[in-house]
Amino acid sequence: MIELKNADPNFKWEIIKREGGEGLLKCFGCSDCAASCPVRYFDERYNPRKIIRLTLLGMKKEVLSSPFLWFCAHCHACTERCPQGIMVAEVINAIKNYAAEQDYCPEGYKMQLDLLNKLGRLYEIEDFDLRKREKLGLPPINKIISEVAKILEHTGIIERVHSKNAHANLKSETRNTNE
Amino acid sequence: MKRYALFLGCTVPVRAQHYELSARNVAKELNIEFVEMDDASCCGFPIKAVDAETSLLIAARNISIASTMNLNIVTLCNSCTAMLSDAQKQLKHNEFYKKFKELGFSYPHDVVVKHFVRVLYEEIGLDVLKKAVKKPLNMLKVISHYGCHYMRPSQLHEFDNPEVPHTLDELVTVTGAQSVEYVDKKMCCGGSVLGIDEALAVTMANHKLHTAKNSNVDALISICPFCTVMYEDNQRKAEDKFETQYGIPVLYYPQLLGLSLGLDKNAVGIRFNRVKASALLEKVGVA
Amino acid sequence: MRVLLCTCDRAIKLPDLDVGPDNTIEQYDNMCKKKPDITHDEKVVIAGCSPNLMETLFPNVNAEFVNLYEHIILVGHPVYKAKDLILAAIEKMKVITPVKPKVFTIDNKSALVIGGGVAGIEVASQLAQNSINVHLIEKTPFLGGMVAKLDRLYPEGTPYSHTLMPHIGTMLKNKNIEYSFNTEIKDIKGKVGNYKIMLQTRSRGVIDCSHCGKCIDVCPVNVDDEGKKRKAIFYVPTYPETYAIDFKTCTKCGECIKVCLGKIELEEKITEKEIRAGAVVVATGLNWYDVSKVEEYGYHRLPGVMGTLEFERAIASGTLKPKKVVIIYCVGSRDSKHLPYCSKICCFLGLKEAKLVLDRYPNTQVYIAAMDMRSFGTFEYFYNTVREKGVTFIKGKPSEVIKRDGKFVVRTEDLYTNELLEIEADTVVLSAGFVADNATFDKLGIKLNGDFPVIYGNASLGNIELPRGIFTAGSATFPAGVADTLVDARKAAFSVLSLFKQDKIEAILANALVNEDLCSVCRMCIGTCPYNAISIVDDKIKVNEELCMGCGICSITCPSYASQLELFNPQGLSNQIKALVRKGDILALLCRWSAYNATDRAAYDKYMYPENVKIIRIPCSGAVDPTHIMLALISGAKGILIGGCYPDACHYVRGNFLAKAREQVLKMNLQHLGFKKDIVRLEWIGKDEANKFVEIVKEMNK
Repeated sequence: MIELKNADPNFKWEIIKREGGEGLLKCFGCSDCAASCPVRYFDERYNPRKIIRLTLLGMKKEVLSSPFLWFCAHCHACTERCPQGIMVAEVINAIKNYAAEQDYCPEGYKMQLDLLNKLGRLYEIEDFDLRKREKLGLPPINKIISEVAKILEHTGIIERVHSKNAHANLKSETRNTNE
Repeated sequence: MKRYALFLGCTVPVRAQHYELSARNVAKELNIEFVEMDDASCCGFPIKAVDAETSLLIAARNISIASTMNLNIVTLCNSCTAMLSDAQKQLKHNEFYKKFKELGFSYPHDVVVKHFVRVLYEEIGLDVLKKAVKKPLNMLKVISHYGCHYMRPSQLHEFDNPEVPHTLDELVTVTGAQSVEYVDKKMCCGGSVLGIDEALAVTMANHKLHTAKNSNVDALISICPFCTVMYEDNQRKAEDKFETQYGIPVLYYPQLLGLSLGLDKNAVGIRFNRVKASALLEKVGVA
Repeated sequence: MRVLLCTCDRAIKLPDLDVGPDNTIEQYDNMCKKKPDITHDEKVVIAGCSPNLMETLFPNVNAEFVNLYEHIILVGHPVYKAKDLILAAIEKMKVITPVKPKVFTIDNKSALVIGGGVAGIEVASQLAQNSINVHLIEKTPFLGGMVAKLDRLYPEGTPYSHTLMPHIGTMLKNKNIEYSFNTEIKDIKGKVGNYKIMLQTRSRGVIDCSHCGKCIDVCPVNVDDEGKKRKAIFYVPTYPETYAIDFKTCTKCGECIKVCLGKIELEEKITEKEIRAGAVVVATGLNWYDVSKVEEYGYHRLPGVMGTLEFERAIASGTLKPKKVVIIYCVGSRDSKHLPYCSKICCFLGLKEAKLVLDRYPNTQVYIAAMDMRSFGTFEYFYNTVREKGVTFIKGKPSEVIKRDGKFVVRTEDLYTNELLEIEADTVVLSAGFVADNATFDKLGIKLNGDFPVIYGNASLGNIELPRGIFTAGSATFPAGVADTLVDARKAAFSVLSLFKQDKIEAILANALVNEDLCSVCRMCIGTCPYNAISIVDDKIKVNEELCMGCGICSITCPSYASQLELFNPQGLSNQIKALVRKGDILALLCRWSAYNATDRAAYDKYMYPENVKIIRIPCSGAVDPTHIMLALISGAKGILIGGCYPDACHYVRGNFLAKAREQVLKMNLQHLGFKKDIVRLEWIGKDEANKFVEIVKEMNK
């Protein structure tokens, strides 16, 4: 049961303010997003319509703490079908962004964030890689792009994501909430 | 000679050199010049889920590099294409542009971002490609996988038909190979959820591998390193999970095109394909 | 200029007032009881109680009203303010162009009815019974329109012959109706009471027909007419009883001529004819939205996915015997990429198709996949009937139709169970939304952008303030079933009759006028006019006085002040502001339809506000120019309030949105000039929101 007495009426407005969250209120619940969703096709624990519905109801904690929020593959199949022109995947992404700041950021993303901070890339370039490239006749590439760290510092995202640690490791939680 | 700034992204230069190699060699054949973007970083997409604004700024910085070179960008990865295109559109909005300027970046020339495959379709064109094909691959039957961010969201790309995509099929057909029609062509590879739930990601990838097997194709054609990770690198996992055998080579489109242009198998880096394409090479007579 | 002052039985006591040498004051104790005479070409200032009352006493006069009772007496403001208000009103009226009464003579009392479907037939019939001469034109060779294409009508399922044929019979009894088939309008000129219409008629091919039907037997061309099979020479059993050639498909082989007992001509001829009419009734009906644009459902791409009409005709003719049918609702409807509106009748059409197939083949499995089922009013019984027939309703918008192993698969989520569903079927029917016949509206100069006129509140099609000679009937107004169509048709016929009762209509409504010497034809006014009343005629900007509603938005938009509204113009408002505003004042420019009424309400409800609040009544919040604001600031105003109707509630469609846009630019500029951000405020104030008005002006006065 959804306990509406726990609802936060401001939640939907907070999402709308965020990058990508704009279209949220247009939803009239036709469920075309869910019917189009490839993730939902294989795993019914993820349902974009349900996430949007709970957001509209103001069920902030339920939405943000749900590990299934992160199942969205951002493939935009939903966006193409939405009759109300909502960029559904962007709305879900805005909710993810909000969750990340509320210390619900999955470890994998934190790792990627740290790598970008350190290298400006997702993969560490070793000398071996450079030699391989040279052998293939491919031009050399820079190991570290330090300006990315500058951007991360400017937006303060690392600090926001790492501020608390109460909800670390959502992956194990995923399994627990399955039942 | 057409000139573009080549944006490599993270995965291609270290994990998919055969994609890069074949793309560069195909480009050379077609009189396309790639200019290196030395200081380019990750496109920003991997942390979009954490903070869209940060990822857009990272993308915008990459665009600014091409902008100062006054060149349009060619990408090899679908997600890079979408991320950079998004930032390119955002740069036209005052609020975002202000944030971008605050970081000391500049955007002197407008930049167009296109996937390499889109450049082949739109700017080189099927007619030119058809004439350039020296070795038609008539004996091959493949399925084409578009991936999501090649044409979705359509508001961003305004390219191809998001409901009935056709450009890659046409490009494959030009090489002489047969691109088979199949159900769920637009299905996502699952790559984005690999880090969140591997079993789910593998299940998603399996859907198309299963179709490919039933269609009895020689290869699956991919245009995104992320999708290839799912269909090629994780093919073994899908085989284990669903107790089956696939053995389906996953070729990047420039590899296929390269072969039809008469390029040597080393020039398209065939030996770096994880699922070995020897049967396919034999069919097309490339020893 | 006369200043007419009503003392409201001496409640208003003014000291001596110097109104200048050219003006005179006339005092009345009670204008309600004894009205002074005012002529149409005279300009006056009327001071007394609220213009809301005064305007009913003095309709159609060229007056500026000064509200002494509600704005001074009841709120306890000092009398010097009354003087200022009167003098400012005089200053305004000095430069105002008086309204020129527009006279429409109803010279011609015959009517043109466009469209020979149920609506057009009913309109023609009703008018003819009232001795009106009617010219009925129909673009196809036969009467009947959409209804004649259908097998049956909802909800009862009666064949069209029950409804259509008796109506045609009644109409044909009238001798004063002229019929033109294969005919459309080419263009139209003139105005209400006097239209000149050029008609274009394509020849029928069959000149003399004995209705033997031999031509059909020999015609080698098979045509699929929206699911119905026919030949290139054909007959629709309505009226007239003469065959016709479909020149789009005819191969001119001449076989029909060989067997014809009458006369056939295989060269298509186009003739033109000018007719005159005093009124036009548009009864052009509706068209289905092109469902192939909704690509995920595969119309055209997947052969066998069909529209409702094709399905209905295929079932009725027995060419289709489905085992499992899925009817998808809202195809293209309520969709920002296609039709943003609900077409209102398609839910019932879908129910009808479900019932139709089950009546014919009771063992068919029928699914209706609908995001919403809208069965308003008594149609709920129809919905019940169809459910009891065993139709399965699935709530949710299907994502796509695919073809797998030779069968259609409709993918959706069933919102009742929260489960994904794949429905395998041999037949998929797309129930699409409807669009208006834009071509005809275009020729009539009515721009609809694909929607129906009713979506614009019918504003473009005849409003209460101006006589218009163009009316809509039936589904041309908005998609309607046959019952509603008949009602709407009678309403249209009544409108025509009541128009024709008059020989002359005098309309006294402020109108925009364009000064050709000042106009640079920049065309900015064309885009801002909410009524499409401005267009270019002979390379000059022209205001269509049949459409202009006098909002004044164009006069504010015009960079050269070339467009001026009768009774209200930017110069007049400037004069008024200059004469009225003193240092430290709050100037309130209030829309006459909403915010101004709130000040009356404030007076009655004893909401007091400071005396330095000076109120000017304007036609629309969209009729204020930034120069007026600057002028008030130069005069020393410490705050300016523009009061308008709430968004979407603007009397002139979108004047308040324009006001909002201007306010934002203006605020930015004022900040650059060093003014406080809130020195100008645009507020939405409803007609009864006295407390809101008072709170705002008090806040601004701090």
